[in-house]
Amino acid sequence: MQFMLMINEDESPYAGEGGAALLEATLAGHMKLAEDLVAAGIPFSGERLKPASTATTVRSDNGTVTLHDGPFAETHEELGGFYIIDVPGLDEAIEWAKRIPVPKGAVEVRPVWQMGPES
Amino acid sequence: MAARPRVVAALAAQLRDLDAAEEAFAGAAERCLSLAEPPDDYAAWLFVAGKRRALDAIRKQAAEVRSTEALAQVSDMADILQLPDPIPDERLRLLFICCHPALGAEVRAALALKVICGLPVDRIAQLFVVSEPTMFQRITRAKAKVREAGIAFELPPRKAWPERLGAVLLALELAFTAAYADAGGELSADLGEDLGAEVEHLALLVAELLPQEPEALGLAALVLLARSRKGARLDGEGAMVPLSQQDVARWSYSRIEYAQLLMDRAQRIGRSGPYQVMAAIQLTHTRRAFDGVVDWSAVLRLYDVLMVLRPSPMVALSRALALAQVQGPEAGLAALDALPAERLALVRPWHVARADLLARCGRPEEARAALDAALALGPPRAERLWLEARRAAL
Repeated sequence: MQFMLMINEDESPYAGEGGAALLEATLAGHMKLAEDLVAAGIPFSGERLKPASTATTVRSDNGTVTLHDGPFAETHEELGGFYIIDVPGLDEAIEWAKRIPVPKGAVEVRPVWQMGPES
Repeated sequence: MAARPRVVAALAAQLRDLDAAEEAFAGAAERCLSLAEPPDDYAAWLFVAGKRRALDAIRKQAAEVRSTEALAQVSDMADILQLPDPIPDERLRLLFICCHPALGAEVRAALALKVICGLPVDRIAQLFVVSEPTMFQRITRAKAKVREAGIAFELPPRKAWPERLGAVLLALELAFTAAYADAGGELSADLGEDLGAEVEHLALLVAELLPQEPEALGLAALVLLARSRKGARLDGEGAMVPLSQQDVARWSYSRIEYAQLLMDRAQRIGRSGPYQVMAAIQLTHTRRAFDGVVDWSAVLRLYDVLMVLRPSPMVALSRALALAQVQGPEAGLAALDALPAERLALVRPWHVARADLLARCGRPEEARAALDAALALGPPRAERLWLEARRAAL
């Protein structure tokens, strides 16, 4: 069963004092996590996103499309990256989510809608 | 149907869908009632009939949407029908699934009460003091999440148990509260099963599986102690008999001994908690059978501890009654009147306790008014008869 692990992070700790070192440590944590996923034989993919300040939102309302500068929701925690992993169930997905390095923020765990005959 | 928890749990474990299991059971139970001759083994009959119904439902769905997913399920279902009886006991597994930490803390125990005990949603809403539509929505949403979110239908690994234990114990406590308030057996008659016996079974099972969790032992002891008085709670006319006036010869001493054993074990582990304190209070009352009197100062001290561990208006109310026994009815009444009356206006025990203390303070008119307020809240028959007798005696 596929799950998307969405990393909603507060970006500000990376900008403050010691931010560069924190970022380096976090990225190292992601490298380690990827190695662990490979070692555990778990199919996965994932990407890191550029900061929320680079986001453009395309909003639709009954056929009217408008563009907005900035992310979809104004919050302190922005989508910073994601993993998609294929594990037996929610418990395993939660275990992996707990291992994602997040200095300040949250990881949302959502099952991916399965399409086609393979389900 | 007395077989409900067992059969629904077994169906849910195989169908991996709480709603489908409940529907299959309801359909099977309905058919069972229309049989000319009742089956020899209700549980086995309901289980097989329930599985057939679920299979039919999935086939119908497959025919309608021609979805490959549903068709794949049908081939699984064919295997399911091959499975031999007797039906497996999946109640504990289902209890832990309902108490999965991915479900909201406010719905876990409620879901367990609905799915396993078959408690109607309006009763569950009462227990949690929320409206029926709110509770209905919570339960519906939780069932959908169990079905869609990838929550495993397996008994979780042992290391995950303690994390779910709080909700498991709360579910059992609330189910038990509902069962215990039902001295006359009206709810059990509605449900067609002995809810108290069911909760006792599950509480003992949890205690057996988690012997290192003192609170699990404490809750099992609490349930056993309350159940030990089952034979003494009603008089010849079916009126409730309060604990202090029960005939101790009608208590079940095998249950009391077992409870004592569980509490000794819990104490050796050395981590106290609210269920252990509640059980200790009940055990202190039980001493009346051996000592002839109740040690009310001990009861009061235990309520003081409980007020720290788990304060609530109900605990404060019970504490006030213990205080009245130690320091006199005026002191008890003062403690009662210090509680938030507006929050307790719909709580029967509040009016009953006030009536008791007012009468003992020599204020019969107010006592009568308090009893009227309790009676106006529509108590079950056994309690009503008892309250009416008290009112007549004033």
